[in-house]
Amino acid sequence: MATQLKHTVMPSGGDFTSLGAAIDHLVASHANLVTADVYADIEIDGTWSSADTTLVDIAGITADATRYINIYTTAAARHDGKWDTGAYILIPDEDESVSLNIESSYVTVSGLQIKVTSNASRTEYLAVIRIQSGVGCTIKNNILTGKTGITNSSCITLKSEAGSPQYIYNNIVFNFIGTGMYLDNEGGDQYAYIYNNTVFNCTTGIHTGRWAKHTIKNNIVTNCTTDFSGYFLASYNNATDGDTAPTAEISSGDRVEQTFSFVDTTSGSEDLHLASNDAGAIGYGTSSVDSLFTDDIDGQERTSWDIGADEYVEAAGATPRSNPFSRPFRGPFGRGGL
Amino acid sequence: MAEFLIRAQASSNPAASEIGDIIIIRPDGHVWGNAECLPEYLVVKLPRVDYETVKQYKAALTLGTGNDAVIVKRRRWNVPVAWIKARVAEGNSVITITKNNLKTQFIEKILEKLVS
Repeated sequence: MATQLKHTVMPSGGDFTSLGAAIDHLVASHANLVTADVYADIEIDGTWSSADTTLVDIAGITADATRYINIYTTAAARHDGKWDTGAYILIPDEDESVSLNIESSYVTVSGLQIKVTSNASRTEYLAVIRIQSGVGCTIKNNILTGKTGITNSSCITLKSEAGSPQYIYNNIVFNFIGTGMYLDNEGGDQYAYIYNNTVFNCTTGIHTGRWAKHTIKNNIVTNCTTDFSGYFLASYNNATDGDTAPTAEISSGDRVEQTFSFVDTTSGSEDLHLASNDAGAIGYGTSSVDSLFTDDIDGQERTSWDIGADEYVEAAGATPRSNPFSRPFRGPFGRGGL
Repeated sequence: MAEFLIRAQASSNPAASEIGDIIIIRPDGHVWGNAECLPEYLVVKLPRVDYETVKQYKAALTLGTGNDAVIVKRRRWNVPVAWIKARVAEGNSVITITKNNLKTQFIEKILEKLVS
């Protein structure tokens, strides 16, 4: 049975102060997790007052389904389901075309906030997360955005060179000039499973190629110029405010021309949790994905299977939404409280 | 002042960074992690150099345009191996150099050399 190899990334007091440095160490010193019979946990912890500004490139590591790479945030470093400048954020400087690049198999990225920024002179299409190659990768519970002037960029890019399977679920993708999720599959033998994401205010919501390889379920795509593009293998219970459902070989339960209600869509302070009066997503999802996950972006258990990254949970009396990943109350005067 | 974290120890993995590669750059006063030191890393401090003017040295080397762009070398810039080894031999995880040293020490990896 594989044993744990753990490294911490913290603003101070941890092994590393940057995720990029932790990955550099892993590649240099633990390149073959299978031979070593270990799985690598990269734990991001602590209270962050500034962004991690170094590109993360995960390449050259040998892994399998039980000897994998798991990058995750603790409660202290994790967002609360909306962009949080007090939680961990990865924003490489403008001299990079991708923020987190994956060229290894069995990599999980969970609970991060990641943004890409660039000057408009770049000739590469930008990506917040790009799976360039590898199999068995999981992108979940992340909040992703960008500030680009390059229209062919994409928040999540899944390249044709990557194999099967790939899992992308419970992510919020918002405010991105370009495509929210670009699922390339030109001739590749690649199957991806795209479940319960919220894509808000992108040029194109979810794009795939013409080969009908990818399955999409329970995704919200709203405030986008084009909602869905390409030909999917299967489409179940996706919802959009537009008038066109995904084109797929098999489809059921998709919802068009829906009105979604989020907690706050004000530019700069978006909170894309579902509001209590939402009529487009609450209760309209399918539970057929529950073999993969049963919670939402906040770690709350899914019971009614809402569409999108958030599962609406009714407040009990004056009790606020419970969130197992919430950080401790810091008091009215900021961190540390009174 | 800016501070550089530079690889000081070789790896047998060809995909790994090389001795002298610039891993990350942080503004002055950065508190480095417990593993960000010798034998694996060297911290180089540059007095009177603003972070904004040197952050480019942690960039990747990318090949291709549009959707075909790929990272061919995660670290585009490094400093000479001999210089790093000499600093490592001195046994200090943290060293300070002057701004003038900066111009002569940093080397850009040239794509033609990498693929030849």
